[in-house]
Amino acid sequence: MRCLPVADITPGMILARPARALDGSLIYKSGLVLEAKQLGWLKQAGLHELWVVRAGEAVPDPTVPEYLDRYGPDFAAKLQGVYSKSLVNRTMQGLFLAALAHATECYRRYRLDEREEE
Amino acid sequence: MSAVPGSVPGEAAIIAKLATVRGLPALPMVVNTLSRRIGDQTVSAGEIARLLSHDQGLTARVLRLSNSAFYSPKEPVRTPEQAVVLLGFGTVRAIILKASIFSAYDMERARPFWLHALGTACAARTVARRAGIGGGDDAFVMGLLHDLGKLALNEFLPDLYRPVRAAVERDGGLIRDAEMRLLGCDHAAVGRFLCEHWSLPPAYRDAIAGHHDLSLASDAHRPLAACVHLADLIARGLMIGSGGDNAMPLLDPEALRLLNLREEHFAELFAATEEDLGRAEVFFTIING
Repeated sequence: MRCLPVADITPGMILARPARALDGSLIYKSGLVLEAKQLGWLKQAGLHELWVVRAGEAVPDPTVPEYLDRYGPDFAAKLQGVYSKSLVNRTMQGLFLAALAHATECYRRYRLDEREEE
Repeated sequence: MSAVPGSVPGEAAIIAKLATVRGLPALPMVVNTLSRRIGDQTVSAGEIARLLSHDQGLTARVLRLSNSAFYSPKEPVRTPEQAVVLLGFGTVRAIILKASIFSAYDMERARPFWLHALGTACAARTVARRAGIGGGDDAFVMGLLHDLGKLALNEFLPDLYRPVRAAVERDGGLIRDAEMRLLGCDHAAVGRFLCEHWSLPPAYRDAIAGHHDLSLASDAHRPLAACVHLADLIARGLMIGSGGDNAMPLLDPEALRLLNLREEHFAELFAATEEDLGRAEVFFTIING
């Protein structure tokens, strides 16, 4: 999955994340095979970059919101990895626990929102 | 240009090398004037808008951002002056500095770096507001620019910086530790040099120079350095982008004291920063456009 300037995207590439207007509204869902006509509209809408994959490459799971890409199902393990050598005092432990609680809450909340939308 | 194996160049040598780099971006006259005038307490939005209108590209970016969901204006923003009022001087400075300074870099390659910078910027604004250090606009710009030194080292002294990145990839740990070990100088010192090179305000220089070591900031600007220091850790905790390593620096307790914050505030800071980040990708797209 790559983020490319719209000018560099060629017909046949597939949207890997939803295309959203600058006001946040949805223009196209992920998974759409882009045609020249749609690329023109996206340029007109003022979009400069889009996440795409080439034909044949796997499109990320659309049930996981793009918002959570950085957490993903393995967010807890990732966070533990980042903090592994720094949990040396109470303050750092507090920071880690706050980050973990926050990530857990985001993951839970947005996964549920997504299911409700379906 | 490469270091003799086993030798550590040291800060003076690194800065001297950077100072002679031909591609080191210079600020266009209009940007320099704008940046300087924005720091003047007597300046008006009208004057900034007039200066801004000398550069159509910058004006377009400012208008696009002010009309975006990131700011959600009740009425469409049509003039540069309205945009300057809505965005605030600090954000206008962020846009013009970002557009000018980083035009020399390959932003596609540097995207994880920029996401980290943007996360730190949102966190710095959140922390500054919570700590009562101004409206947060200056802190936002400082967060956006705090790791400038890494980008400059990577872009302009690649032979020296490549072993640093390789060491972090191989051994883990913090990129700053690898910089100090292999270069004898960290990205914060390089950031300080760049701020001086571009005549950025002393508060910016201090916050960037002191974001890993608060003692390097002047007394007057140490709370802002503390703000960026804590914001860097929050952005890392939010796992947005990458500052070039996959580790967490230790939080200096002095930062919490300077900001009058306690551990109980961490959850609130994460949540408020996340709220800003929800719209940050739009901001990132617009200011890159």
